[in-house]
Amino acid sequence: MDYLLSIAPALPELTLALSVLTLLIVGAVMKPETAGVVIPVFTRYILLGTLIVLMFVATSSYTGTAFMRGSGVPMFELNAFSIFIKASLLVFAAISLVGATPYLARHKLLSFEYSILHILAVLGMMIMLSARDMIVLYVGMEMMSFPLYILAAYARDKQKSSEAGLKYFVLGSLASCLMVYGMSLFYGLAGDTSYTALAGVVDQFSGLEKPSLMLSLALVFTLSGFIFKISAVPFHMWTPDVYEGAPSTVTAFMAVLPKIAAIALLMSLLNGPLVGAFEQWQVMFMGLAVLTMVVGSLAATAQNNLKRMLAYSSIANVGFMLVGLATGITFGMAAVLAYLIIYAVMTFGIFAIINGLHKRGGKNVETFDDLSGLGFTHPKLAICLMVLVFSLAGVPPLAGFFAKFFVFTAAVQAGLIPLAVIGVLSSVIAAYYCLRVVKTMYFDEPKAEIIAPTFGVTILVYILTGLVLFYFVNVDSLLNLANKAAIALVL
Amino acid sequence: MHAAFHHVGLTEFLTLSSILFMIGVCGIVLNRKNIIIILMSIELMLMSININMVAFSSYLNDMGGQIFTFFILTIAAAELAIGLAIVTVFYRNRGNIDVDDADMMKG
Repeated sequence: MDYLLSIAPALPELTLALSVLTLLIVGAVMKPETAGVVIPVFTRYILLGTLIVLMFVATSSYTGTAFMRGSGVPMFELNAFSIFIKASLLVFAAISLVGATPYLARHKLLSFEYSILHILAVLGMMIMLSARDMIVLYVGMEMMSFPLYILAAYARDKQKSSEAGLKYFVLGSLASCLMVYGMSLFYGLAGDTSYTALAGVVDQFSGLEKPSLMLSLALVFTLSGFIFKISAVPFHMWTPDVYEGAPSTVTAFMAVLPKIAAIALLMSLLNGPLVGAFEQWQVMFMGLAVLTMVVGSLAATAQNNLKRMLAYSSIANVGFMLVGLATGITFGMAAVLAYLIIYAVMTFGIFAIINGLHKRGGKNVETFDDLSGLGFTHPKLAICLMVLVFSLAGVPPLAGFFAKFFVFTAAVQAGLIPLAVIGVLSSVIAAYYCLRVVKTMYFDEPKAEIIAPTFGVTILVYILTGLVLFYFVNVDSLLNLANKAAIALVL
Repeated sequence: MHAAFHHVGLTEFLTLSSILFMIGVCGIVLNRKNIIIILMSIELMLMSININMVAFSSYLNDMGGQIFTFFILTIAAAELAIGLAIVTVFYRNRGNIDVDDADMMKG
């Protein structure tokens, strides 16, 4: 009993893991056609159940550390920050499954493995976020990445999808190798794999005049692995190709969940064990933020394919989040968290529309041309898409405006005014490609016949658009939640 | 343990592993021919990290690095299984596994 109570903080992960394993067996013994329909429904209930368990643990007195090692150093921790991120991951995973089912059915991809891979990736993200030991962090991160490699190549008879999977696999493995190499150097310096030891060694070196070469190498190698996962600029080359080639529902998933997880992880590492090297990483992230915002926004204007455009747009958005991260202040972290949630809602809304619409014969809506005249053929959906896209551009009073406003306010508060100025300029560039979508919908003649999405997806689109549209009514609610999480982080 | 390394110290092991790691990186970045070579390079990189871990573990008299090595080995096996599966799918669609041929998407 004592042992059971001692692992209570890991109860959500355990629930999810056991359910995934059970579902895998259930799916394997069922007929493939029934399993493809039934298992995704189960999966949603499992996500909901895990969310309830998480909330139960969060409100009980059993949060905190678990899985102590002999020396009394924990390997796992559940705090207000990880509760916030895990809850949003579970909610968004469920949303992405709701949006995915009609698309998968249309493309005859509706097998039960899809939803299982989905929640396996979520499980990896949850483990990675609670890790207090480099081994747990590494295992969690790979548990997140492997299902994503498979999902990218999920449409296995499509050339583009298998190519996307291959590219993602090769570059993702390269990135995780860089990360573990950095970790091995950290281990050599710290003599232990726990975050506590890591923090000790980083603190020890930050006092010296010149940081040792090995510490700098360890820091750069480890961080470059994470920078790849969030697709910030020097390591962003894979993003457009993978987003274009992967099935669109997988793209929606990859554009949101791994980003939330990886950025949250970066936040908890930079404010936790690596906080001693603040001067070193702040400069690094300021540079990355500028590059990512500018390159992402500029490249997005040149795209004709909607998924490639959204890929570059997501890169630019990561740049805005990095501005908040580079501030290093509590409000900056809260701003990044709020940005993540708003970004997720906008992105899922846009993808729900694009994945829901299709041409006769089930072909996807892929290029700007396919959207032409949507304002006349599907007026309601066109208005939703317009709201979402304006929000992406940061037009007040939509949610996207507030997201950017928080981040730039934090940058000004931390004295990083040039960063805020560059940010505002790149969101002006971003407005160009957003307006282009609106122009295509309302000023171009309809070309191909476009069929409306299913009822469920339409409702989902209305809800997400409503959230973006009426966010200004209660701006503080999200910000307060984010603030609570951020305070737990900086502690 | 230390007696075994009488003439070969930590530095030598770290140098060896960094050379192997760099060979692995070059194998991915410079290789323009075959995807299987990329898979081999990834494996080489992971194994060079293992050498690093074991060398540190022995030097520090701490088991943590060797435990980490077991996890890296397991994950490397899983990774390679996924990689080979994706390469197989790619081969079925394209009829070859040349790196230069993986260029359907550009822009």
